Amino acid sequence: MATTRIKGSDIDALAARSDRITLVDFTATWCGPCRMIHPVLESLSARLKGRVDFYEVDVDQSPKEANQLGIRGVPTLILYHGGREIDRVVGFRDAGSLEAHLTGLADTHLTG
Amino acid sequence: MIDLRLGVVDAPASRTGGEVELLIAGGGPAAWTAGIYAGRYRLDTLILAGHQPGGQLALTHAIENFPGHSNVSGQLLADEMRKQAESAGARVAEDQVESARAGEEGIVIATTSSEYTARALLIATGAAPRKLGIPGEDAFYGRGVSYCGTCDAPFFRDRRVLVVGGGDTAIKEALYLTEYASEVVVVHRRDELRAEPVLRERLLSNDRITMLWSTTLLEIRGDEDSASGGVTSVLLESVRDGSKTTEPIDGVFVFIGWDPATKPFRGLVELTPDGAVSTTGGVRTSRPDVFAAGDVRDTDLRQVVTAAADGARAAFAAYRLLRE
Repeated sequence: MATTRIKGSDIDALAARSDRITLVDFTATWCGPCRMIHPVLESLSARLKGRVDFYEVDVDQSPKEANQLGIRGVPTLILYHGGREIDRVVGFRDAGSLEAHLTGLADTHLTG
Repeated sequence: MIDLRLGVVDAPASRTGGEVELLIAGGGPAAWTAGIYAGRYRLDTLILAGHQPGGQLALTHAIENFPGHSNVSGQLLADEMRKQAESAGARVAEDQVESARAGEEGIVIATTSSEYTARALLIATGAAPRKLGIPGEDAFYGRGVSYCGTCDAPFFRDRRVLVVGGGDTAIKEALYLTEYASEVVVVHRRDELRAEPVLRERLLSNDRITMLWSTTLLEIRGDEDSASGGVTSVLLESVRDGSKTTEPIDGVFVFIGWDPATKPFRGLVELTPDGAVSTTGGVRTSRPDVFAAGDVRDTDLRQVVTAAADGARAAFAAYRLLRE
C-alpha cells in the first residue's frame, strides 16, 4: 500500500465507503511539516492495510475543496467513514501516536 | 502546522539502539553543526533529529543574517547543514528522545522505539512556540489559529489576519503575511517593539500593517460547528484603560516566545526556572558528560549563528572529555 494522490473532486466518492476508514492528507509542496509527515503516512498505509485507505490532496491543485472544507493549515488529515467526517488531525504527528489514534478510530467505526 | 506537543509519552522502549560515544538530541542548526564538528573529530556520533528535522530554522521562510547568505530559505539551509553533518560521518535517526537518565555505563537515552547508551550527551532540542492559553486557541488550531506563518500564510490570501507579539519572529512573520493577507493587524501588549531596528523600520513603513499598541488578546471566536468554519473575530483589551473591543478577523498568528524543549532532561541536569538548561562557560551543564547548545540553554541571543557556534563548542568540549 501507499498513499494515493487524488483530486479534491474525488473525495466524496472515496469517503462514502463504510467498510474502511478513508484518510485524506491535505498537503502542499512548500510546507516543511508536510514533507515530514509523508513517510509516516507511507509506513502506516502498509501497517493499517485493509482498515484505513490513505489519499493525499495538494491544496494548491484543489483550492476549491480545501476552502470548502475549511482547511487553514497544512498538513491537515481528514478521516471519513460512510460519507461522514469522523475526525480531523492538524499538524505533524509521529508514527506511534498517529497509529494508535487511527487504530482507535478503526476499532470504533469498523465492525469485524 | 507545527507539532506543539513536547515529550509525548508513548510505549516504553523495547529495542536496544546500542552504544554511542556522542549522542546529539535535536535537529536544528546547533545539532547539525555539532554533528559536522564531532564527525570531523571522528567521534562515533548519532543525531536523534526528532520529529521535526530542521527545527525552527526549517520553518523560517527567509534567513537574512547568517553570514555568507544575504537571503536563504530556512529549509534549504537546514537541509544543507544536515547533508554536511552526514558527510562528516555523523549518523542521523528521525527519532525523538523521550527520557534520559544517568546509568552505570553512561547516559541512557530512550526514544519511542529504542534505548541508547551514550558516553556524552548534547542537548540541542531547541524550543517550541509558546501558546497564549486563552479561550478558542486550541479549538481553532488549524482553523485559523497558527504558530507558523511560513506554513499557513497562503490560506489567508486577501483576508484579514492578526499577529500577536512584538519580537523579531512576530515582526518577520507579520511582514511575510503581507504578501498574502489584505491587512495584517499586529497586537502588542507594550507601546514599543523588542524587534531589531531594521525589522521595526520595515514594519512601520508597510501600509498593509496596522499596529495595535498596548493591547492584549483575550479570546478567539468563530464557528466551531460547521465543516468549513473557523476564526471569525477576536476579543481585545486595552492595557491602558481596560476597554474591550471585538475585531473581525480570519486568522490569528501567535509569536509570543518559545519554551525550551527540556522535558526529557528534567532530573538529569539543572534547569532554570524558565525551563532552559542551566549552562556555564557557554555549553557546560551541571553534569560533566552532558552539554547544551542553541535555544534550549539559558542564552540571551537565540539565532541560527549562535546556535551553530554553540554546536561547534559543544562538539569540541565532548571531544576533549572523551579523547583527552
